[in-house]
Amino acid sequence: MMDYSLAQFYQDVSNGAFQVMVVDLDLNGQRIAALQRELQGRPNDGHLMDDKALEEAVESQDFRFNGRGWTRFNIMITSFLQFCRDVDPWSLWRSCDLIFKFYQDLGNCLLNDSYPIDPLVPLFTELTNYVVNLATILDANSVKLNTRPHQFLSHTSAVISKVFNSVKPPRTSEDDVSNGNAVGLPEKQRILLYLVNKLNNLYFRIKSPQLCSNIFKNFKPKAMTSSFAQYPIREQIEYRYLLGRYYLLNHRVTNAFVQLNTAFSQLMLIAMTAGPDSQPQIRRNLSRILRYLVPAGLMLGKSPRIAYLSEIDPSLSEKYASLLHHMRNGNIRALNAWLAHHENSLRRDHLLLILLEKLPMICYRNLIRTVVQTCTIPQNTGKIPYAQIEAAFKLSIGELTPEKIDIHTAIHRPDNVENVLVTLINLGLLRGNCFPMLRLCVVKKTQAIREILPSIQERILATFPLNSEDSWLDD
Amino acid sequence: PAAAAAPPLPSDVRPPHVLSQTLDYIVDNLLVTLPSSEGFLWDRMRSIRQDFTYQNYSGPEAVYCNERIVRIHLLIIHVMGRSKVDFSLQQELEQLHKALITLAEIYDEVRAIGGTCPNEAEFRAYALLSKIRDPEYDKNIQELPQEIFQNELVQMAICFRRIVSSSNFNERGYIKTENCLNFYKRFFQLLGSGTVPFLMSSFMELYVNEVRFYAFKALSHSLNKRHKAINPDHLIDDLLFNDYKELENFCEYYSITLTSDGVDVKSLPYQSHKLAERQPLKHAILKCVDKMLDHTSYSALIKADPENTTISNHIAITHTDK
Amino acid sequence: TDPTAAEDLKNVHKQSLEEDDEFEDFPVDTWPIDETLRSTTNGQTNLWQEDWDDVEVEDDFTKELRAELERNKEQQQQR
Repeated sequence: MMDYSLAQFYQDVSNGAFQVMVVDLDLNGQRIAALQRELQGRPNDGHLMDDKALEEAVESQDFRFNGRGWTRFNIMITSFLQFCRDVDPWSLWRSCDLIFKFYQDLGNCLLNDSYPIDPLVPLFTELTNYVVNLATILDANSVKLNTRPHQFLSHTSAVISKVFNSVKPPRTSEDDVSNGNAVGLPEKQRILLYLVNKLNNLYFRIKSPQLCSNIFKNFKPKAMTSSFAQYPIREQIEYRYLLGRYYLLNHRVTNAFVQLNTAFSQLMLIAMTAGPDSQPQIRRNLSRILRYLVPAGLMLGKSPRIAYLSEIDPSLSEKYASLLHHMRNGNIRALNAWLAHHENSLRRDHLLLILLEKLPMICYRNLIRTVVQTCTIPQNTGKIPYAQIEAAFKLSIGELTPEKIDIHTAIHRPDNVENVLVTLINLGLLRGNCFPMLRLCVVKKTQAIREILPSIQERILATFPLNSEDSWLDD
Repeated sequence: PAAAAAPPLPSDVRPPHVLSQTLDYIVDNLLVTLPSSEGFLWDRMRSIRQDFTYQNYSGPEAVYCNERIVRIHLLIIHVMGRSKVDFSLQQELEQLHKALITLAEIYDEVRAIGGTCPNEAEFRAYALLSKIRDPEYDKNIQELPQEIFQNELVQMAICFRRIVSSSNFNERGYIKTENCLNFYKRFFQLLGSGTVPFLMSSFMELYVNEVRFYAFKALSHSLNKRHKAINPDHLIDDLLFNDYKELENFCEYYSITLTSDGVDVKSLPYQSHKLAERQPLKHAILKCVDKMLDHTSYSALIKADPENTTISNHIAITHTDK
Repeated sequence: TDPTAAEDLKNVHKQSLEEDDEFEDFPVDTWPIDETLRSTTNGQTNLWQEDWDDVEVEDDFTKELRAELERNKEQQQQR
């Protein structure tokens, strides 16, 4: 390798040994150093090959593919050689343009399916991982470099996006390989979910998750297999995780829950069968899912098993144990105090405002359940006076604060009884009728509390159906 | 640039300090000519904003002018709402919204290089109210620094967003979400409490009819099939109608039966506040909000900066080296 | 001067993804077979309690609440 030369490089390229174009100096540094020496004309007093000379040299190699010349391929090879010639291993900043150009040119090769692009795909995925790391470092230094926030990660996503968009949807149902003939799958199809996940991750990172919408929408139409299960399980889980988070950002709790819960279950299964080497990463991934799954479940009126949770993520379990407690008891003031106490972490996870909005009705439902259980059912009148509920609200909501308005103290008031009842009834969480003039809520005369306050999840699922476009994920 | 007009010549575009002065003149001398001057003011303000865009200028004067323009639009919305003069609410809102977007971009740019804009919180609050049901704004506000997030106006706006949320909201393209509060009573309680500043209250007036509609809708689902009519006072109080006449208009528009017995809430036939076959209801004006104008002047409202900064302070605090 | 001089190209691949939210890669040697996986898509883990409305853990609030409701009940019955 120390004697690597341009001539050998051209030979390797001819033979399709594209791994010689790995950009990572740690892995491929000696080759690149050798090429740099030759391209700069060292040490034999040769001339530095300028851009024009490089282009001509590559052209003259006359690389052919099924008898055809491939212009974009030549451009990409030239870019690689420019990188080799000019790279400064001690300065990311001076070298990054060279790397990005090569990356972009490699991406452009993958756009046209009429060429034999499959052998280039592994190089592309490897380079993608490298470029994302590089872009991360550069963007972290954006103030010093005077670049726009997320400039390099955005650019990276643009390259990947072009490749994703170039994936053609299957033309006929014969193209569907869900019968298990994954062997015949073109490379771009094989990495389709990898591209999807990479893009969605980047969009989250550059704080533009709404861009994921297009990717989610176009994934299934482009996939040559109608069976999601054909993709690597790791990628499937990550997909659901990202989809679940995306739903949460759009306040669609039921859909978020279902995806996150499936991701969690599947990853748990893997954890049980995986070796000790992967346990720490799996465990951290489980925590990542739980961070969003647990609050999603709570918003649907579900209760996590704290003991089970504490085995996987003790600090998360401790955090949510007290919230669960207050939710079950219908304690609005304690719910708000919990949100205030955890405001910073909830804000960072984009959970604060959705919880602020969607936990209270579950809490009120539980509070009213206590009223019904303690008074209404024993008295068997089927009547709940507003005054009774107001007394419960006074205790639950706590002291009225002076009218300084903040999110933890300005939304709930004890005199809001009728409105709360109206909302609960409309959500299907309470079966009853209001009589505003009589200041009374009338329910069925029954000893079975379920007939007055049905199961929360059943009601929510009935009212907010799942997105049918996701059903193929479970087929 | 305006759809119809070609871009102006460089010599026609006014420099930033002139634009500020022009706007100051409008604030000090022309606001009093409302409501009749609404069209003229709309045009002048749009042209000021456009001049900043043409010269690609986003320095302190751009912030100053866009902020004041937003406040003026909010004032105009209320003043025109209570007048009998014809105007296009949609055009006012369009300009308001564009100014808010420009401000958001500038605030982000300034923050990216380590600067701050003193009034940012107020206008982030208005942005939260401009698309009150769009979750994108909830995402964005949670990413801003603590001082902005905890600012009282931002907190108020967040409260309104939660309060106005409704799992029954019905509009084409809108996806319903779970467990929304639909706290119509609290909505009107807050507006009537006097603690929400005038400009924000004016903005919220735009949602009054919508909130009232979904209150009626929700109430109608919670009443017994054979429930009799409700005493109008109950609804006038809870939903802050200015008087019986206003309730009458509202019921007529939504085909709700109103008789000497009261309001037959269950007679409401519509699922959505938007009626395909009719022009939208004129946006509501609340007496208690209007009363807030008694204690101040139009120009004072527009000029009230929380930190009382003049434009020279703007230059000192924000950056200019671009 | 080069602001990134301290960060050289040799260390790029050592950059751990600082993003707390992003999945880490992990080696998966033996994948559970399809059927086992399908059975978990209905979310069958022990994470969630069965619908269990009746379980309440007493605290000051619940005690106070019950006391107040009982008081309220009595007052009502006296009318």
